[in-house]
Amino acid sequence: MSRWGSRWGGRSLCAALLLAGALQAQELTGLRLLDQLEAKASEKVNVTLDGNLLQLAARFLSASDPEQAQVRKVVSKLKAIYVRAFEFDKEGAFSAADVDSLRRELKTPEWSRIVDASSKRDGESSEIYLHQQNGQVTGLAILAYGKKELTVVNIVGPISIEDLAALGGEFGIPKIERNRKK
Amino acid sequence: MTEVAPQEDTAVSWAGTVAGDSDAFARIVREHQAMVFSLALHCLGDRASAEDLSQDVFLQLHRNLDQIESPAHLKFWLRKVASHRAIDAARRRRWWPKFGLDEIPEPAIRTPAADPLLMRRLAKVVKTLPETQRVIVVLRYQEDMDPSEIAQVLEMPVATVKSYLHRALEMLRKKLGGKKE
Amino acid sequence: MSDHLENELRAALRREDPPEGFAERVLARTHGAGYRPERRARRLPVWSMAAAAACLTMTIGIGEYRERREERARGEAAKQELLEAMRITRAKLRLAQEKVRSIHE
Repeated sequence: MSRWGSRWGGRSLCAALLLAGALQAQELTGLRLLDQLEAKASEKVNVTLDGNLLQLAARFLSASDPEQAQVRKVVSKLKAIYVRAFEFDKEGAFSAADVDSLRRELKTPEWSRIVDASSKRDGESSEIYLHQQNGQVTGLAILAYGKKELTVVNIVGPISIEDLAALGGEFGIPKIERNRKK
Repeated sequence: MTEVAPQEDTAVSWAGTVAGDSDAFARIVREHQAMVFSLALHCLGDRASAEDLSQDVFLQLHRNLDQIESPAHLKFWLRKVASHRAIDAARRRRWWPKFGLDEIPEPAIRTPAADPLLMRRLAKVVKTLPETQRVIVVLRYQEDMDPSEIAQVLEMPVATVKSYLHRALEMLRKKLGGKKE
Repeated sequence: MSDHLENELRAALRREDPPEGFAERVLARTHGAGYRPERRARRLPVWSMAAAAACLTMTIGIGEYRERREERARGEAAKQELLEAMRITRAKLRLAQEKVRSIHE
């Protein structure tokens, strides 16, 4: 390989590593640890759609179906979608530690918690986090649980306010900048 | 749906239009595919079997297109054939592993109707109903048909449909956690 | 009779589209070998069905056909997962929104 080739190869590798690092920052690694809860769950949804599989899924969405057309628009720029949703017959199937390990990941400066609605009485909590880079929203995480239910959603890639609104959440998102809290 | 008694002039002109238009059958399939497919899906529970059954319904229609008298009769015919085929298919696969009512867990927490996990559990419980009750529930809530329309499609007395529907709802309520009024 | 359960049943039993290309597959079967429409007016001569089948076999090799079918099955499965993931996301966003509203009210 020539010196130039080697230099470009090195740069490409650096760029790839940086990209991978950036992507990893939006991905919740703790999500995969939740898979151990599957055995205890009475209902479960385990979705891992990344890279080619996500694009393949998007290709099969119908443009004539309003729901699918909307989803196609939202996912066209996304890199990955991970969902783990469990319902349990009994309380105590998952621990606070399971949830806390995810929360720790969401405490980096790029992640902002935009909604924290919890009820100690009902033991329910809904938390929504946005990942931001250079003023752009580049990821979304939802952590929702009750005594017998746990759902974690992790969307990786640019997602606009309009996309979020289309998905059903408004939350006064323009206020995020002012109300940034950890 | 109102009674689908044929009106001769309309029937002849509609059948003539369909027979003379090579794209008419394709349009009919596209217009009604979601209805037929969903009816099969909600009765059988898996998409591959639902597609097979739906394809067979449309092939049967293709063979009998000259018997169809109007768009309303077409819809009635498709619902009738799909329902009967779904009952037969569900009966044939009785031996398949399936969930008994007692194996369906009690609901964890009440979440809004749009919750996919709740919807999935409900659909699963519907599939534990006896075949005829299951089809009646699907026609009632997927197709929004009233008991007299369902009675016509399934060729049974209205009182029997009402009784089956009542029993099915009681069973579903019981399994889904008590009275919900 | 109208109650919560009935509304939930309407949502759970909503119509769904069949997999992509369903109508094309039905139409292909109506032109396929071995299919015999009962209506005389639509019956095709045997030689034309044989010719159509031969053309189909030549155009799309069996291997390619299988590959396409597998690709379609993978794509359909991925699509269903994607739709379910987005429904869950939507449901949880709305739930959070309702909670926020109830706190403010």
